[in-house]
Amino acid sequence: MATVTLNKLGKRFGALVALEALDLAIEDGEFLVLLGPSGCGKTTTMRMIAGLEEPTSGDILIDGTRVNGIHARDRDLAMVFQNYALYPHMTVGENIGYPLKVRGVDRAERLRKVEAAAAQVELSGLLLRRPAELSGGQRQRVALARAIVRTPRLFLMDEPLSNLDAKLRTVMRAELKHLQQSLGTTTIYVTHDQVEAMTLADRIVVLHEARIQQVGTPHEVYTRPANTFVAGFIGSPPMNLLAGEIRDGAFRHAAGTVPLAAAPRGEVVLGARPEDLALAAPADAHLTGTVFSSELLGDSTLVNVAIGDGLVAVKVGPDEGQRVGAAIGVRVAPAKTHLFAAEGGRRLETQP
Amino acid sequence: MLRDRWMSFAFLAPAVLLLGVFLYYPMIGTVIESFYSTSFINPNPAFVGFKQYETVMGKAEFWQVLANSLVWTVCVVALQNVIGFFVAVLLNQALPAQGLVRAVVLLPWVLPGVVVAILWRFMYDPQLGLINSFLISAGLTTEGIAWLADKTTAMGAVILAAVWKGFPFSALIYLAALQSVDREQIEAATIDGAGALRRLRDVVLPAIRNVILVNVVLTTILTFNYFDIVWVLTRGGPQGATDIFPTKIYELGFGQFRFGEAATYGVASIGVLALVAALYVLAQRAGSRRRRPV
Ligand SMILES: Nc1ncnc2c1ncn2[C@@H]1O[C@H](COP(=O)(O)OP(=O)(O)OP(=O)(O)O)[C@@H](O)[C@H]1O
Ligand SMILES: [Mg+2]
Repeated sequence: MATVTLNKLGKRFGALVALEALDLAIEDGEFLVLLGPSGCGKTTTMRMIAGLEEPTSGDILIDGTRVNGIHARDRDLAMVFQNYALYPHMTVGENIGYPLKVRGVDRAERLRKVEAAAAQVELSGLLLRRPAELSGGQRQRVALARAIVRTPRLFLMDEPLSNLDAKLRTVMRAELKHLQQSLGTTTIYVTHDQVEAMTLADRIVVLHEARIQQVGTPHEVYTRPANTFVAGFIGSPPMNLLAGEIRDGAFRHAAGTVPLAAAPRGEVVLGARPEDLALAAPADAHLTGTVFSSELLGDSTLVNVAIGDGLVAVKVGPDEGQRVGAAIGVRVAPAKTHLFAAEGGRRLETQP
Repeated sequence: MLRDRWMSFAFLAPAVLLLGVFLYYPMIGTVIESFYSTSFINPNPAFVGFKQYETVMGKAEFWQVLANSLVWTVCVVALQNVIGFFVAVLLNQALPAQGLVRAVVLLPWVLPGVVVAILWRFMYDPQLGLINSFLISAGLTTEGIAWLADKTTAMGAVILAAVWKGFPFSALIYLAALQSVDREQIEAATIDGAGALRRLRDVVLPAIRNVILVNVVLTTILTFNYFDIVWVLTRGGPQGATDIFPTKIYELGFGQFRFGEAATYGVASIGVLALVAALYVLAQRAGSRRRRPV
């Protein structure tokens, strides 16, 4: 149970800026996901909150108390490391039970809690193994169990599911979400997998190049991306972005025009999600091109259409696959488009 | 497969040959020598069997040398490794002028043993020595103590000099080992709530356990066979108070030309070292700790 406040938190490694003046208020019991591409500063942010890295600027407050100078040991949190950081000479059980042992929990109680935590991550039966005798995914689950064996003020999890297979990841995701909600422990969770972010988060913080791009609920981030980076990062496949010009109430592109009612004039980037587009005959479509590829995904088909010098992804029904090379048109639902400034990519809030 | 077998023999041959010529030939020669009575007056070796062992071990002198050797080895090894380890822990912190500090610490080890011994002879000198003049000026004693000439202090004095020369070697090896410990494991232990001592015990020491073991065995063998510092400082005196196997063997063989007896001492010292090697193997076996569920 804790609130975490970051005030202009920054970190430099020599000349390299790993994190630029981050402002963020995390509420008690919140599941906050830090999402961003590799190298954007996610781990660095975590390590500063944990007390493993000194910030070069700004403050960290936990429950309203400034903790900058406070030792990691005294911050009462649990962390899952990106590279697991298991103790190689201890068994799985000893690894999981170490935080309890250090705090003087007696053996019987420890064994009970370790077994419960191991069961939660499907590791029962492996308690006597050593980390070297486990697969990558199993090691990752040991790291996870070591964090959840105790109920700290704050969970910090750095890509805790990155090495699991798709099925186990889905199961673990549900387990984690359930656990977090039943414990109500504030959790900061790092991932670069946007599906994980969407499904787990109360709020998502999108980081890119050491800066916050957007903070919002998964719904907000998905439906109202703050800029072209977020638009192009969230969603699978992500939003289509087309550069063009708005003139006479329509978006104009070399491959066609899209009528837009209340739109600003000038150079813009038009964004549309694949599921908000439809295929049509070239004659009654907004944009025309040729089929570049057609991929059956199971519950849908993803058709990539070459328009101008780019590709536009369109999600259609599973039996609407197209022949590669065929001439085809794309229809846009004007109400479901997004506009971004051509310069800088900021969202233009003039859409109805 | 067959080809591989021959290849490996071919690659091993030079090493085996070198060991054979330079190590096993003289060693076996020493064992054979110990069964013969040879001396300056009686240059024709006469086979005496185990008689020489009986004579040598019958004298109090032998047991004195054995006891001295054990005290000397245990003290030097223990002090050198403990001090070396803590110096390594200190050097492993971020220090100002780190490179310089490390170089200065290493200095005693790069000095030749004879130079170190001469240096410490000056330090211990009853009239001119730094140690005595310090004690006198501090009012702890009125006249200089002859550290190296007194039976009660000589061994301690020699041990101190050897530790001074030897600890940088241990520190260097421990420092390298400490730097190879996974930083994230230490960080994980910190977050799990472990204090500095606990992290040292639970994470760092187990990680460098094998280095410690090798280092202790190595310094044990080197110390047991140490010659120059002791010889230059005391020649095994006073009255045999600092006589250890190497000084005794040298004195018997090249001082009194009693080669047979010297060889007997030599074989006995090999026996003691073999015991150390056996302990090392046992300690390594014990390394596979019992697996516990928590
Ligand atoms: N100890 C360090 N010394 C120098 N630079 C560092 C250090 N740690 C991180 N960096 C740099 O800081 C930036 C942010 O690193 P960080 O580890 O926070 O990225 P990340 O978002 O966690 O990426 P990933 O998804 O790949 O784990 C990177 O450019 C990285 O090279
Ligand atoms: Mg990272």
